Amino acid sequence: MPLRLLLRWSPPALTAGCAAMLLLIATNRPIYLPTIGTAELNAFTTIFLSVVLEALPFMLLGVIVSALLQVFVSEQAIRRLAPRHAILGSIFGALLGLLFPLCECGMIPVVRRLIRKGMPAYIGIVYILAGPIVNPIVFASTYTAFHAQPSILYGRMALGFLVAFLIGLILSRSMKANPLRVEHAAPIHTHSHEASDHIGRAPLGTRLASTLGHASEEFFDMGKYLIVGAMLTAIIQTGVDRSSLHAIASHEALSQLFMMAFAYFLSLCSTSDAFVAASFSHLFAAGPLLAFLVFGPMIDLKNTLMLFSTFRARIVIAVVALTAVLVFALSWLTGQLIT
Amino acid sequence: MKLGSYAAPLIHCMLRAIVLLGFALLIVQLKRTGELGLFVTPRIEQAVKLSALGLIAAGVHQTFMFLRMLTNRSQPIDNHCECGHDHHHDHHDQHHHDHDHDHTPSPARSVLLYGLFLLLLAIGFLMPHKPLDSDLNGKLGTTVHSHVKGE
Repeated sequence: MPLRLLLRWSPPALTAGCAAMLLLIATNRPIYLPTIGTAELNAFTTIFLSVVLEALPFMLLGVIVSALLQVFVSEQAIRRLAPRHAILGSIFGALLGLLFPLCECGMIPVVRRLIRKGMPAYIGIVYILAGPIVNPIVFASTYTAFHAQPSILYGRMALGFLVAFLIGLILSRSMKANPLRVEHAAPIHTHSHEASDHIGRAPLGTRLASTLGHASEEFFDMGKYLIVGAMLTAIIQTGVDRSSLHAIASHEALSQLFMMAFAYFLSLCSTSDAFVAASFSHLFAAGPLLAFLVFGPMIDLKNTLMLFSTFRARIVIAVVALTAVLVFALSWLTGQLIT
Repeated sequence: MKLGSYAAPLIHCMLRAIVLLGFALLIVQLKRTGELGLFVTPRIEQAVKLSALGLIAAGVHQTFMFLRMLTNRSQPIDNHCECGHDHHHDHHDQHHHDHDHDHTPSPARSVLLYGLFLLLLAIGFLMPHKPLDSDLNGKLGTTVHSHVKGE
């Protein structure tokens, strides 16, 4: 099957390649290819492994918690916890990260699990947005990175909460159908066991083994996005030239957009991105920094890939658009207030 | 060597065990050579070391599954579950989950999936690791962490 695809697309692809070459020769432009020397390769390796290794503990934590939730927590408990009212529900979702501080890597399987167990979907999405920001670990890392500028820390926390809360309100009104993607049903397995009946029965060993098994599966499921995201991050970070950043940083709206796009493509774990932002603090104003610190954990390339695999496309696009607009506007506003 | 319905879950278990244990080994190796600090901040370092333990636990579990499947050929193996599920239909009351994964990815996707992880391990083990040189700072838009700069 893949061979067939390859055969089908090679002639057009090669044609396009030749055309591009001819065009370049015709316009007589020198081709600026990034030089791939040992220094660049080393930088690539370093950044690639850095991102993977730093995200790893949090991703593992996420898949383990997700597996534990699946094995040990009954549907009734979750349904009882989550408030029904739109406002309270949104607040609940936005603050849930304080109880369950997961990196975005591990959060999505957990939320998928919770929604299937009966938690209102908009609360789950609010948690996905706010969780990576409003949690004690990120608070600590941001505090460390910005101890010279505590206003950035408070701004980050406040904005993270506010944007997620607003989106929760909007979603609770407008999102009616189940936002989860319909999975390909394995033909024989259509179990829908009631969790609460069975949990108490199984011996602890079996349940723990089951947890490990599920966690491993989720690890590979989610890990592939982490690795691809890390690779892209490393490629981009190795390819961009610093002097061009100065030009962008001085422009008010552009610097905002740039930092958001930057955060999007970097796809860094929310615990480490504070240090990246801190290294930019002499270049960019508070607004763009906040945009980086709030948009990145909520929506980024790696995240988007995972979201598309979990939720329906329409929902993902709506959430991404809403988040982008709100973060852009509110972080600019907060930046003005802080400086 | 067609093993029929036994082949796929068996291979998955084996590959997963290799990746998980290999990953743990990579972390241990980086710690021994002292290069772990090149990639992660000191605070995360402890967490990464702990993660290695988690990876080992998962890898050992997959190995057990693999061995058990090898020796229990007579027992009908559920082809829809990856080996982590340990799903025997006569023990319904021990197990309650709703399947939300596509359990039988095509061989091509599996190759890509495990290939990706193996690529990660290959890069980790085979590529030389040096601190980022200062001459590269002009090229890089940013650095990941200040301590990674190699100063």
